[in-house]
Amino acid sequence: MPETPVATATDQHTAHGPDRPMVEIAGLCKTFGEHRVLRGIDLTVAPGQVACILGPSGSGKSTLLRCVNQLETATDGAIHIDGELVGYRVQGGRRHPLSPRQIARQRRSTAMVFQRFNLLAHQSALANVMEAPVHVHGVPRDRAREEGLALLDRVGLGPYADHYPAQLSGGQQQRVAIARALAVRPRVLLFDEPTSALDPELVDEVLAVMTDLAREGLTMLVVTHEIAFARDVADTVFFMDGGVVVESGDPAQVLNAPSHERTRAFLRRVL
Amino acid sequence: MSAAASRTGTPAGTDSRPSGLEPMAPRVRWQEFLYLAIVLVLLAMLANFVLTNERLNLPVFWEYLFHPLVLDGLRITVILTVAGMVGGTVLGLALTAMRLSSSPTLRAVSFTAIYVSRTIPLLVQLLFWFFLASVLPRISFGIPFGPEFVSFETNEVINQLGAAIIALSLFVAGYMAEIMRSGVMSVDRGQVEAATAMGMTPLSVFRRVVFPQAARISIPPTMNQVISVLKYSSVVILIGLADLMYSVQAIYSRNFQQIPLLLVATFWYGLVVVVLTVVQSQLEKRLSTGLPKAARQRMKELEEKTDA
Ligand SMILES: Nc1ncnc2c1ncn2[C@@H]1O[C@H](COP(=O)(O)OP(=O)(O)OP(=O)(O)O)[C@@H](O)[C@H]1O
Ligand SMILES: [Mg+2]
Repeated sequence: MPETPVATATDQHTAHGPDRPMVEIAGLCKTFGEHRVLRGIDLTVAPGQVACILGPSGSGKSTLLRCVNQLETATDGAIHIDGELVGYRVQGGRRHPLSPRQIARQRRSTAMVFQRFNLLAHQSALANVMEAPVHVHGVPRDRAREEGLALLDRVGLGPYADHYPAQLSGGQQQRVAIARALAVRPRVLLFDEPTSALDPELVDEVLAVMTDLAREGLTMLVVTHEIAFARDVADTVFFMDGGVVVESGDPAQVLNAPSHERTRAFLRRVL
Repeated sequence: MSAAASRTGTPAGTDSRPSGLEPMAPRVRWQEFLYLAIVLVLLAMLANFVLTNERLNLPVFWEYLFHPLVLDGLRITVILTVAGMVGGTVLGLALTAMRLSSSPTLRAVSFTAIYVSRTIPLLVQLLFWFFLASVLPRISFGIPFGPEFVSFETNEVINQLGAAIIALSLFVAGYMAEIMRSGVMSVDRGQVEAATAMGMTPLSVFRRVVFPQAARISIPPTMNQVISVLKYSSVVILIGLADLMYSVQAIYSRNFQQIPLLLVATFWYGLVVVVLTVVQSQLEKRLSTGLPKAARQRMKELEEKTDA
């Protein structure tokens, strides 16, 4: 486990080669009006690693993920995904915001799994999984269908390909959402509390799928309240509070022997 | 699937009731007979009035039902309804796009246009466009405050039919804009975000996610609007355009058979509404994929298939 490198907010990003981080967030700030939700976040995820973000409600975890895939525009700081600066083009020593079209193109390197699943209600499970390959990446229908069915099989939902979201349980919907996220072969998978909207007995089926993905070497950035999952699966744990990363490092260290009082207080409440 | 199996496992009629309780007595609703009796008596009275009333003069109804004047009028009424709805929907779509855009100028323009469209009475709009020539004798296209390219006599471009179609379109536009806006706003934000996060362009998100779901929500109010326009179009009688109402009135002003001829008009308006209602239910069926009700229906079909 390498030391978490402290990245500097810099436009002339030069990290290249095999050690280049997959996700590199530096000095990230986000304000909503007067409200400073993110106050300088530094966070790095190496390729193939799983990072879990923990923290109390309102600490800015969702906002952080939404900045990574540009559902929100950060106020300050920089995000690089696989070495590419997110949201801007650097020219003449200045940053120029990308057009909506270019942003859409950039979003293809990530995929997101939402707390409330957000499957397209007017499409079957299979059509949901095929949507991005066919309509964003231009994959031929036949191939997308084949791959979509394989992905549904992989999350244990092969027989449910024709079901609409309204006909699936929460756990099944979330597994379809994970298959949908995998369908575009993202470089980074983002999860925003994927199990918090689920009944307790459905949580495990979703966590099992996520654990498999982690074993297969996908790069994952996971916001979760499932401490056991973080302990068993994460390579790094980040603990956020009040818009900053209070503490980060090896899960065993952060979760078993936290060095900050705020982390200790949070863990006492959730364990 | 196991639920379906256990249901078919206990066929009706056997007395293997798992609960062991007495069977339900059939429920008889005596009031139902009373309601039915009252309705039948009223219908009999109506039939008696229609069939035995010499003054109602039913043969006149049949004589004029397919009269060329009446059918010509019906044609104009249908043209007005279709043209008014198409024009109003296109304008309404533009107003909705402006209203939901991020530009404050466009939003203000749209807000004002919707206000104007819904505020001025249809009759006033109709007469305004019909008499436009009195204040604007020529219509010209060119560079504002600069040279003109083409120009027309206002009366040549805006005849009776033109004035009626313009008035109906502008009248409909404000309502359609609001119908479509509420349809768009009813689409789940989460689905829009999911599609955006996939890397769809804003236009694709609209085409693939927002439009199909907003369209489904907008069908019933849009059909209301079509039916309103069908009936409101009869105001064109005031500028002498020969629609269904105009023709019927022209006939009864000569033969004084008002009621039979009003029944002729009622018949045709009613027939058009019946056709529209059938179209509406077909459209709704087609666009309801994935909605909870359709989902349940589809679930039933799947279960029946696995049972068989
Ligand atoms: N679009 C927005 N406009 C204004 N304030 C917002 C917006 N989105 C989030 N916030 C605020 O930012 C803060 C952080 O929100 P965020 O959703 O990132 O928290 P979170 O850590 O994900 O919390 P939770 O665990 O409850 O999901 C909250 O105080 C919230 O009210
Ligand atoms: Mg959140």
